[in-house]
Amino acid sequence: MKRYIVSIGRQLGSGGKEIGEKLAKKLGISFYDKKLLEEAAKESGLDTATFEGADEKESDSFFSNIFALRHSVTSYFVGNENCMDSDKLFQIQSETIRNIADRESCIIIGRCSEYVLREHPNLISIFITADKEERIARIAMKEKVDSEKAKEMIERGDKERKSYHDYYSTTEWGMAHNYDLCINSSLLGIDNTVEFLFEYITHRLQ
Amino acid sequence: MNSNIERKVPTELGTENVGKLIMQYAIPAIIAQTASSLYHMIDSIFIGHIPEVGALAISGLATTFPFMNLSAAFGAMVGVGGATQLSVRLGQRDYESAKTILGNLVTLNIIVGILFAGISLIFLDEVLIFFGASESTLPYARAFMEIILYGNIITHLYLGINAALRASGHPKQSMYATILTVCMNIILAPIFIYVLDWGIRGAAFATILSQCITLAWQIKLLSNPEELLHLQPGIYKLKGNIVKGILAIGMSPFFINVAACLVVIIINKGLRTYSSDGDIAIAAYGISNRIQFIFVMVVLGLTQGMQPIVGYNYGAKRHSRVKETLKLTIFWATIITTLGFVISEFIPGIVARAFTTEESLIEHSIKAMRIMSIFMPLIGFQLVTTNFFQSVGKVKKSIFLSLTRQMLLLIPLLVILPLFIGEDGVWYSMPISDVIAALLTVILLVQQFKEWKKENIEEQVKG
Repeated sequence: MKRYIVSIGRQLGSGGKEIGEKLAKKLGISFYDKKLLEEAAKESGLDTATFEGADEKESDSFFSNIFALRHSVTSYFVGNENCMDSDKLFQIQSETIRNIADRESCIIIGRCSEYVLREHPNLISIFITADKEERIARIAMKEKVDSEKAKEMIERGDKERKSYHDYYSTTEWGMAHNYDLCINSSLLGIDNTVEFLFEYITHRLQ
Repeated sequence: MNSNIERKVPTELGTENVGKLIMQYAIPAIIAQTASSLYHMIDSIFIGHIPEVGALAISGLATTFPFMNLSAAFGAMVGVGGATQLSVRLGQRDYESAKTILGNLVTLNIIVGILFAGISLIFLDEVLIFFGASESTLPYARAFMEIILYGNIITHLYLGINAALRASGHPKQSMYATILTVCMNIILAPIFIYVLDWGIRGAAFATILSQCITLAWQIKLLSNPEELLHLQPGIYKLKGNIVKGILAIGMSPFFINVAACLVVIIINKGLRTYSSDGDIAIAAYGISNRIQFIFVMVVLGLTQGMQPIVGYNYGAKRHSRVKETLKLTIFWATIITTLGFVISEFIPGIVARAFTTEESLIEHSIKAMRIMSIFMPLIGFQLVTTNFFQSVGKVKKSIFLSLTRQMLLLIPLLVILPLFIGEDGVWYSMPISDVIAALLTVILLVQQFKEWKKENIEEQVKG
């Protein structure tokens, strides 16, 4: 069968990771979430923690961006194209995503993978949302926090993912027209959503 | 040429000899840094030797420094923002977006360049007086600035396209462009100033003409249709999201340059208020500042070479290499600033005489240089460590240290000290702020290493 890639974008607490894992098992292909970072670390000789530190976070807070020396006057006159910073880490990680896509069929969670692999002939891009109450409940259970705290985490998480995605890609995070399929996992439940996506992917590959 | 765009993972940063790596990464940066600061210094030297008016012309020129900083602030906002975006897109081989960014960068440079020049020309005298010009130095400052402002759009385009060239995998061409501009300026300036007898206007004209010629070459380079990224129709129309992205990144270089401009204004104003001869004092600051600046720029080039090595090895958790790189860079930086110290303390007369023949200005410059450079050997360590914090992702500490030396300590000192000791207060503010900043830097650095040691031990216990 031809090689294909399923890229899954997801809101925090939408069950996207779980859906991806189950779907990968059902399709019999590899699943890359944090494993992607380990692979990028191995290829570059850097530590996994370094990639985790920059993983799907805003590249700079407003404060540090204003006075950040990264984009200082020196970079105007002399340039800093050798700079080891979050831009460079993203580039290394993207290279890893492309290497994986050249090698095997797989599911990749987030990390702008739908943008990085936009020219892949068999890219299937999916975005998963869920009802807010359900997301709060899921995060509260997973992180063992109260719902007030969970709500905060969700709002911050969405903001971070959006700002990361929109900085590194040319499309808008979570906007329907950027993806092949957007689905609310609350309506069918996790397992039925997996079934549905399996059907969809099988059709796409025919 | 395009092969440069896909930059490989630089794993040699984790294995190659640290000293060799620093050389390899720092030398191009040092050359480019020094070239652009030499450029300004040589301009001052030529202007200082215009017969009859040298000292006043130098003083007038010194009041244009903040103006040049302000212009660079607006240019860098577009140039750095655009180049950073360009580099991210090219890393993703997204040539379509990259083209539009390049086109938008050009358009924005033109708009910002015209607006800045237009508004500045309308209020030119008022602004120059605010920046420290007097009735006798204003004509020189105005004559110089008028030409520079008419050519402002060329300056912004030249620097903006140079940043774009670098970001698009042509760092060598970009360096040649810088060196070419400097060399042409050095040849043209004396011809225009002395042979054609255009005075201070000649210096400004030489600057703009050299940039104009280089710009033509840059445009030719970037118009080659064989390049994946080249200037072509249809890329210049501004796009909201691209402009927003460019400006968001460009804010930081903008504010840094505005801050630099502010400090020079405060120094000029202090000298004007407290000195018995404000024009000569401002000219003396112009000379000493040019000298100190060169050494600072060499160190900044060096820290640029350090950044990727420290960044990579810190990310790879090779702490001994991080430490080794830091030590070696501080060592070299201290040698460089100590050299500056020795020159400023022991042969300031020779230096000052290169800029001017007027005895009162020479005397004043010697005094200024001697005071400003008292703690200069420490500046190397301070600059390197500030940059080191940034390289290991401690951005807030890095910003704090950078602001303390140049603003947080300096500005209050500049305001308060002269109240008690007059003009000397302005001069002494600079070394005092240097030494306090260096002390703060030592404290933060020691703290940081203690923190890492603790983390390391904890990790070993866990592992």
